[in-house]
Amino acid sequence: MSSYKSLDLFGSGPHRFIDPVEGQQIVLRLAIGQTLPGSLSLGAQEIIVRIEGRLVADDDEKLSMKIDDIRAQLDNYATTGTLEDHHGRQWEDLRFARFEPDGPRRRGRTCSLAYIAKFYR
Amino acid sequence: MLALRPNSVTLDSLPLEHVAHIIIDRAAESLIEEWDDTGPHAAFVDVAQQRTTIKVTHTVETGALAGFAVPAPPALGASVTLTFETALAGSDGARRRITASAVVTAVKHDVTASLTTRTITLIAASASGTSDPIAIEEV
Repeated sequence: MSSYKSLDLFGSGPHRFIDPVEGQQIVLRLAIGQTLPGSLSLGAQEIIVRIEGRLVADDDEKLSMKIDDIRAQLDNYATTGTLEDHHGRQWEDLRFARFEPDGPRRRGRTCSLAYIAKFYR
Repeated sequence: MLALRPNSVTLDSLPLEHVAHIIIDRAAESLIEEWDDTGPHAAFVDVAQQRTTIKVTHTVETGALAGFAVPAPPALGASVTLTFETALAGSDGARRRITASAVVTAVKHDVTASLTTRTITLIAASASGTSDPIAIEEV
């Protein structure tokens, strides 16, 4: 089971973790006003962990409740927490920054919503 | 669902004679398949949109093709109510009446030396979006 701040926010449906980009954050010199060729480093790349998945509930109302639970954590952006994937791998001091629905709610046997969640450090 | 030689077939109350069979097929129009990080197999599958297709095949009198004895088939796009009765193995036991609201999407003919058939294809539509467009009741 995955978790954020020890809460199971995404366990109602399948979800996958996308590892953060590693290394330096590179920008073109031209982009910061230097009329010079090449790029430079602004420092270490910020850590962004993405989760792509689908929330699943019996009906619309229960799905909305799951989103409410997620919204409550988004409102707590100021505080950091530990994100843990299905295999016990952990990222510490992450802020839960965004929850992006990826299309409409789908209604079949269940009511579900695809999403992308983003955590920043 | 397959109904062989169904009885009392009507399209918008218009009787349809010599119906050989009615096929009702259901298929996923929008399939949700999701995998998670635990392994190679799909962890979640659901059908978010489905299509119910009805094919009504009836024989047409050869001489009537050029004349007007046979009612004209419904126009494409027409919204109609299809009803028919059927029973297991053609028996009188456990008879069912099937009713479907549907839209005509194709009318095709197949002509051989001995037989002419017309197949009317319809797609069933649910007024509410949630209820099954095929209603089955005991007669």
